[in-house]
Amino acid sequence: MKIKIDGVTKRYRNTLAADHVSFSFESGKIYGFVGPNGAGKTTTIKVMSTLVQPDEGDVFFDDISTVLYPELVRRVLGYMPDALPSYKDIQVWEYLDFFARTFGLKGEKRRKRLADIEEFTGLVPLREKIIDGLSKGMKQRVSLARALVSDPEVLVLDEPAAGLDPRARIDLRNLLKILASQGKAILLSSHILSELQDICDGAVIIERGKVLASGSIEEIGKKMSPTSDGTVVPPPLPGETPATPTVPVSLPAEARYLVVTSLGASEAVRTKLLEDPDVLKVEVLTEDEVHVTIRGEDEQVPRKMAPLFAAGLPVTGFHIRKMALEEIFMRITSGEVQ
Amino acid sequence: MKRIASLLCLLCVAWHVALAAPSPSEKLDLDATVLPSVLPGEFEPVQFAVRVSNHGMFPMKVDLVYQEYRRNQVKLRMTRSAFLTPGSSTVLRFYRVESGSFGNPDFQVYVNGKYLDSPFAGLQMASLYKRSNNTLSSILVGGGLPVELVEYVSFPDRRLVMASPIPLSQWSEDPKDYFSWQGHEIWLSPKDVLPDGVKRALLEWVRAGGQLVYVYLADDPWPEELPGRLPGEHIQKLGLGRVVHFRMFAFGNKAGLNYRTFLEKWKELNETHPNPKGKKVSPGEEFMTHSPEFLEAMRTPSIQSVYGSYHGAWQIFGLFEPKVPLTLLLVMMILFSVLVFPLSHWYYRRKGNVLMLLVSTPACSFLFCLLILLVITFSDGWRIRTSTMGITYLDQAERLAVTEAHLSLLAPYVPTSDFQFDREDRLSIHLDHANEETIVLADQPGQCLHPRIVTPRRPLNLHTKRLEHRGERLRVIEVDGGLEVVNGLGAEVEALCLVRENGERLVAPLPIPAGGRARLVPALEWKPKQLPDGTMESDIVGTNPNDHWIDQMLSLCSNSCRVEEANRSLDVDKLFASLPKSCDGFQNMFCAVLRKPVFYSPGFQGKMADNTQIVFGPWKAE
Amino acid sequence: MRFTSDSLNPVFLKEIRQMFRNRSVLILTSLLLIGEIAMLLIVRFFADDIGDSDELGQICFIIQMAAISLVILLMTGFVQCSNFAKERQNMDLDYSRLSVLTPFTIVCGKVLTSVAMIAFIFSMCLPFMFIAYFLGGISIMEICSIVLALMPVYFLISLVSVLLGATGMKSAETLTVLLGAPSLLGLGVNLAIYSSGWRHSRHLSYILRIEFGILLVAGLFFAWSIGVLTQRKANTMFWSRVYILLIAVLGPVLFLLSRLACWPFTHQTPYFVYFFLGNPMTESYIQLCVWVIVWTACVLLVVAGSLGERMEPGPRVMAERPRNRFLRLLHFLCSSGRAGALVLGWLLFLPVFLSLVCGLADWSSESIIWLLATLPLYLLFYAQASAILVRYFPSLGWAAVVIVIGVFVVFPVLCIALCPFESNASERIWLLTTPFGLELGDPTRSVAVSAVLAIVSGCWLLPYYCDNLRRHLYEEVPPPPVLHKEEQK
Repeated sequence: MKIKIDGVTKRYRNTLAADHVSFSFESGKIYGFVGPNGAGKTTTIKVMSTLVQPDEGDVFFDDISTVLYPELVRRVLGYMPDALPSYKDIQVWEYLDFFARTFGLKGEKRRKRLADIEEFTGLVPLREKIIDGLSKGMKQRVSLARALVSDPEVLVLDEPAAGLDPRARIDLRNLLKILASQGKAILLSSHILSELQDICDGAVIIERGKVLASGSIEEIGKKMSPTSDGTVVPPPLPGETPATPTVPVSLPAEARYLVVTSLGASEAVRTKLLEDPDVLKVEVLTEDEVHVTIRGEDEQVPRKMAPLFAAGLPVTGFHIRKMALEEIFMRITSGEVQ
Repeated sequence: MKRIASLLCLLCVAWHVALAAPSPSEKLDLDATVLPSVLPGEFEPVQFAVRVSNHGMFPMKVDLVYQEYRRNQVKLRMTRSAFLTPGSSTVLRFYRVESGSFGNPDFQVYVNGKYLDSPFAGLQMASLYKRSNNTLSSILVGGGLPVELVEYVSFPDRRLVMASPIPLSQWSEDPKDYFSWQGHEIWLSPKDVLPDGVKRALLEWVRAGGQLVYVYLADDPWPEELPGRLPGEHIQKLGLGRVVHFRMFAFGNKAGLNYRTFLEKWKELNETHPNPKGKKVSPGEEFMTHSPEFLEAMRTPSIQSVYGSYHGAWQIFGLFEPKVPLTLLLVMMILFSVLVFPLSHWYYRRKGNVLMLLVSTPACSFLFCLLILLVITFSDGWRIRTSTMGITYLDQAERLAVTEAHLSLLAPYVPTSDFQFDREDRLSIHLDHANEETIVLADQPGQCLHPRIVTPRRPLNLHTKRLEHRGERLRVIEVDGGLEVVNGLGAEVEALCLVRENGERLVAPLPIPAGGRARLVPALEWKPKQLPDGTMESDIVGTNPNDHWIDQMLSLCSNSCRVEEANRSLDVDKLFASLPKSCDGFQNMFCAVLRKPVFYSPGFQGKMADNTQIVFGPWKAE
Repeated sequence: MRFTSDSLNPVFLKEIRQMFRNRSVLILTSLLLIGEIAMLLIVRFFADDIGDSDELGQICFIIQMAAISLVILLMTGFVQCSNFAKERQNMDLDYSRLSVLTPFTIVCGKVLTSVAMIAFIFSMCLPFMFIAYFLGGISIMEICSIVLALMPVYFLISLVSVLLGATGMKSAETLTVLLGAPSLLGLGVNLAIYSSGWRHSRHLSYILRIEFGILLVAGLFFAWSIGVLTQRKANTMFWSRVYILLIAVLGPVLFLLSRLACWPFTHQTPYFVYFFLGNPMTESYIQLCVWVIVWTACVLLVVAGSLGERMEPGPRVMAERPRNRFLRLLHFLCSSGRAGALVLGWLLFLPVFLSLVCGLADWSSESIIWLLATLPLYLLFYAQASAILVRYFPSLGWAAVVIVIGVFVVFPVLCIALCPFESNASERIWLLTTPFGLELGDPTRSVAVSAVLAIVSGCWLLPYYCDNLRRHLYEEVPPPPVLHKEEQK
């Protein structure tokens, strides 16, 4: 199934919550939906889940308009909001049973489905607890279970990991991977970009109602243009804050960042690499590791490394360093909210 | 398309039907006049002459519906219907049964099923049937008295006053025509002559329990020819009733006071000060209220107090009171309250299926309703219980029997059969409890009451009066210095008491079968219980008639007593209350108790019937 | 065994489960039972002191009904309303609608819950009522009749609470007023009916009419609740308009049925006469009044409801059109969109107007009939005037209505009220555009003026109506898409 968000615009009084938002994603993939607070994520998600009607534009689920046929779309959509279930005086199994019935599941089929969902989300020991008395994490599970009860093809999750402990987050990640492997299209918004990095196949970055970037993370990273004065900021190492640009270098779009490791021969490696006119910059980090900025596509990189091996240098390995989502996010967004 | 066409047709029809209107009324002239009668009352049929004149060609169905209400709910309904061709007329008669506590009757007229508003605009319906709840008497004024007196006596008690629309000479000679009232006051002047037939009718009515008060104005000579009057006596007991002669406006020695003076003053005030609009009382009436002497002079013996003291004795007999086993029900309901919600809720919550409360609660409720029904049924029984008590005054010489009977019924369910009464029975219904629905009286020869008059588990009390000529006799034969009786009363006499001239009491030692003969023995051992002076019959409550029946019977059947000339200041009501209650004055009277209703119709006999017939009257040895 | 049939409304199932765990409900139910037991205790130990023991059962029953009514008001009124409002506020309601649940199903579920709770309360109190019967003073028929007479009132309370909850209202003060008013009104009406001798044959028809009236109003709240829950660009007005049409047809039918129902208790013979438009009615003035009032009320509801609507039906409404042309016409009249509303208003009003004009009412006197005739005309005029404004100034929206009301109603009234004019026709000409213009003295003139205003504005919009209608009838409706998931199935 392909989900296409086409020019969705939504206005709340004087605020343009979503401004011609357009992107798409398909089954079997997990897409992250990121943006600062007030960017329009929840609004867009609500439009997608037919809770809210857009002022302009539409969302298509395999060419079926959510504006015209929301009832059809709801049958294939599972939505997990950021708000936790707050029903009082109702048990977990009753809650899920209610939602199963609302989707028209009947009899044995419903019972089996509920059992599977409870098993899948780990709610079996809690099924007879009152929802109001559950912890936040458990409520999240219930919310997820509710979203899954109808076996939807599309899952839209709004901040699913908020408030979860690390183990719960890992569990959730694994769940989502399993669901994606089952062919479901998943869109989830989160502020925990590092986690999104691990599971997302793509991302949509939105700020102030406008989509700044969308696509796979690699593609977004590749499309990252240099700063206006040509400064390229090398990606920071893990744990390192992004460095401020110091060396104004004009950088072509097909530049790659490489990490070359050796056995204490960093200087030799540097010297050898600088012989290649396509090598733009070499930075020695340690005696074993060198960061290289090189011009060329991914396929050309091994050829560029060949001289090192030919020179008999003790190179232990090299790899193309991809841009992290967090990095992309920080680069793209200005941090302004509305 | 066909479906749409059908739908359209249906809609059109529905629309038109919805806008249905009743047919425009044909021009209808309904002329109903009430044919005059001497007295308003239940047994005097009220007749309506109904005439329909219209321009149509088809007969019209006219329904006259008489309804009486209690607390704005219809309790009694009688219907008379007739089919009338244009221009024809008919007479519809209502035979109304006195219903005691009801009031505010109305008549409704329906023509071809359509209700007519105010068909009797000119008719004074209230004057026919309306009576104050405070009185049970009518006041009839003879033609010879000043008309103004009619107005006077309506004040201050607001008793219903009706000047008879027909002359005295044409008053009814049928005692039944006087039966609707417990008492009558007849105001007569020397010019008013009661025909003999009227006198006889009044006497018979008095014997049957009527309270008759003759009122004479001061200064008028004491009428000699009036019935029931004995020299020097003002109060006479006859049968079950009394006759009182009363002189009104007798101011005694007070000089200058004369009723004519008041009359003239009254006339003068009303002429000079005609009633202003909206004022409730006329100047004449206002004058009266400020004249204590006049008010005092206006007082006549209150019929009700006479009647009330007499009928207070009825309270000791056979009334049922349903009993609800409240303690047991309370315990059951406490159990129910615990079971139906707290316990069930806890149980189903543990089971995880609170929805079952929607099933268990009604089930539990129905079960407990059944249990309640069983408890109350076992407590009350499931048979219809009746208790009747009839007191008959049997004048063997005139072969006249007057009977007052009280019938009580308590049924756990509505009976299936009607209450049958003879035509001679004058029926009163005392419905003291809310009834389930309107009682529809069947109008059949031999009259009957619809069984729906019965409210399950509520006692129904009926009262009948009967006046007829009967051949039953209790023959008393002197044999060997003693007395023997032959039971010709038509049923076994369970107990019999005879009082001789000298006050000696004789009783039958054993029950006397019908037609049987028994020798009486002195009743020395049966000394009458001496009641304290001033004890009202109504104080004898809860006494088992089987133990002291003689005292009670004799107290009811006490003979006439002699009273001195009434002092003007004497309280007549107190006078009645102080009548002796012992058997003094019961000479030459017998009193028999039978267990079968001989002189009255019990109406309905339940599976558990308790009948008591008391017969008393004068005897004479053969 | 779990009592969970698949045919049960899921909202009802959920609500009932919640109700039976709700603390307020548990407390109220327990208090009710305790109260009943206390009353029995008092009867047991103090019956003789109470007085007229013949009416003990009646007194007990009245107290029971008062307690039950209060509990029902609190339970199905306040508790349910506030729960519903919270559900809406917390978006739980929205999540439940992300399914095949329709607003109709949701409202049905809520109402069913109320009905079930009312039945539960009554079934719980049934043995106590039975005992009241045995205590005397009241009959089984009276008990049943009072309970039945109060049922429409409870139903109305439930629907008011559902409507208020659907709008998200849960302020205690507002609820007290908005729930208390119909409750007191309904209870008062029923008590008055009962005490005035309802079983008198003539009164039974009045009672039935009042009960039917209450039920019709409750049904209207039902339809409005569905409209409130429907998404904004969906067909929000559809159910309301369908119901109003139903009232227009049913109202006079129910009036007739109430008379028929009395027939077994009266001596009246029912008469059926077909009434054709324009025929004079003589004695059935009251029936004419009923018909006019009902239909005029329908017109007012339809037209007033259209004031806040968008001009044309949205794409979603257009996509829902049926295939059949005749049904499309009905769909046009009942769907959201001002054009359809105004056309429907005219269609409902015209028969009334023509029948009145044909001399059925006495125009020389100030009867209620011709007053009713003018009100819809003015409302139609205002609605059409604001529609004209919006056509030329689309950004006005709601402001158009305000402008029209301000210019044509408020301003003239203020002028007359504040300016020192004497009350004569020449100054009162200012009130021509208001319903108060009937004070002109000549009813015929007033009706003519109001009719002219409405007709002129209607004619101005006629091309717009026709265009809307044409599009609604003739524009193609694409076949509904099929999800590939279902194709695979």
